[in-house]
Amino acid sequence: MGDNSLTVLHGVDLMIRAGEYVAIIGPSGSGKSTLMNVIGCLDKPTTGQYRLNQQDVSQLSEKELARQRNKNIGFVFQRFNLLGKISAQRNVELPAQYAGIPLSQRRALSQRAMEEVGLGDRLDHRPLELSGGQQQRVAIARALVNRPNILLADEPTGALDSKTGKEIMDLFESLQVQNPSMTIILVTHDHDVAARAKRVVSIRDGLIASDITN
Amino acid sequence: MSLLEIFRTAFESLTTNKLRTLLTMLGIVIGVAAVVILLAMGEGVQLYIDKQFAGFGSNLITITPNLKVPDARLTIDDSRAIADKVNVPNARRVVPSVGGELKISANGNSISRNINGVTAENFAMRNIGFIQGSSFSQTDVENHNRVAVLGYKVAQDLFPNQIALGQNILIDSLPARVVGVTERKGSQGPSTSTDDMIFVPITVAQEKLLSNRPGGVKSVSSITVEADSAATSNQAVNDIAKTLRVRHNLLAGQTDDFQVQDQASLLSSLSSIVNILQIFLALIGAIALLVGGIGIMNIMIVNVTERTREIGVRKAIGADPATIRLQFLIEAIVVTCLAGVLGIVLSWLCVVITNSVQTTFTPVIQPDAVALAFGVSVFIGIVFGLYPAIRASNMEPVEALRYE
Repeated sequence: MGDNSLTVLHGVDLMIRAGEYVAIIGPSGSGKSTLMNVIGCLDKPTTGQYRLNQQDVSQLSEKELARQRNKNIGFVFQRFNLLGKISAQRNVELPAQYAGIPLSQRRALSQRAMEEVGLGDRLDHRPLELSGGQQQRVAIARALVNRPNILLADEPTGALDSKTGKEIMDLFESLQVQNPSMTIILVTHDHDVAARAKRVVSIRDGLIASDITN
Repeated sequence: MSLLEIFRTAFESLTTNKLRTLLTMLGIVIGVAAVVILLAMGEGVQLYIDKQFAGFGSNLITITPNLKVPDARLTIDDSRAIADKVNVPNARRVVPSVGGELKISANGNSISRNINGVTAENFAMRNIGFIQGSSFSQTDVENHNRVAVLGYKVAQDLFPNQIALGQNILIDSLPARVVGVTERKGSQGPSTSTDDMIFVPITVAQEKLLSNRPGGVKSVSSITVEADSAATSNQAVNDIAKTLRVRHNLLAGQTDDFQVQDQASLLSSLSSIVNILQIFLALIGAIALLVGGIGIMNIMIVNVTERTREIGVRKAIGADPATIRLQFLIEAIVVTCLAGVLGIVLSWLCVVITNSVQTTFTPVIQPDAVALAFGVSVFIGIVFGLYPAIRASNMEPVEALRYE
């Protein structure tokens, strides 16, 4: 957070195609979070390019980046990051709200997303009234609501017990069956989680150590 | 995201922490209420003064000796000269008066009150009505008849639960018969109310009661002139001054040994005092508003810091900086607007309560004051909400998401 700059990624060259299911794995400090932030348009590379849907997004303004995140990226965080004071459905609605979709349409979209993650009967619950697994499902519904090209999950099972974690991983797989063109990128340090993906990119010291497609 | 949506989001955030929102508003509520109430009070006082003067006759002119000039005095002859249409064409009625405080006793009661020696026209000129009897007549004045008109309260003090009319009283040592009791006037601005006075013919007062005054028997304390109308009052003031200067043999450059004051100028000087008072009170309210505004800023900064993670999440899912900025700014504006409305309601309640417990004067809530207070509330929301909102919008999403 200080002013000292630190080069975290050194000439990473990575191409991910639409519809892929990729796990990015690496120990903490390897640079995988930075890579994820760049992919998610939360951060810009200081040098080099990042192309999303053929478009160079490295030099976009804050406002344009926000639009890219809103339209093309669905985030799933380790600790869910739901807003605690509003209902699950309102949480899921938020990206659609920022996209400028009118209320009635938003309601339908958020309901559909909640049904996709198996929580069609929990629309009015507050996040804290739900279990950890359910909260993560709400977060996934929120990521899905704007039909993004990329579902970007950062340690999605990190705060869950192994059984619930497995259910979330099952959910990712079924989501990709339903949405074949959606890319899923999973960032994790857990090899068991990474093994569920079809392609595993391993990062070490800011470089790609291996890139294995199963 | 549309403005309406942003308002919705702002309400959502504010209702999640109701107590804090209320406490934040309190400063503004008090500030707005203070401004509105103080201005309403000022307006009430102004109306009260206007009303008192209206009951008094706004075209009355009072002439008194100039106390800064040694041996200055007015006489009954000055009064006659002013009454002469040749000298002052716009003078409708001229009433000389002699006044002083004396002991009055009757019916076993003894009190000290203001005795006013006047001519019979005094009562018509000052719109004084009677609940018992009537005025003494001009004949009574000319014949030095020992008669008296009692003020409403004086009659009550001397003759509680009795008819005062026809009774005999002792003014100092002079016996006099009560011929009338005035109706109740209430308090009358700067001068003593007629309720507390006793009127006797001026001739009686000059010779029998207050003869040992400086200036001799013929001198009078003041002369009151009623002009034809408020419009001619100014002309009459000038004519009176001219007449008196000639009569008193004043040379050019010599100071007037008398003072001529019309009610209009007295009213305007009183009004300007009220105005200054109002500005002063409004300033106090403004300081309260300022303090309230700083409170808003303080809470909004805490609010933004506390919600760093939320801001990070909102940015990650697609909120652009301008939307975040607007959201927090509108939260501040909504808080101050609500506070403004509450403040106006509070001031209205205070005014209603004030009006129900007393009737002497009536505070009036002025629409301009309400508009001003509300406008200032919105302004405060913008001014003190802007910095926290900018802080929120400038947060880096990556760092905000990492915030514990």
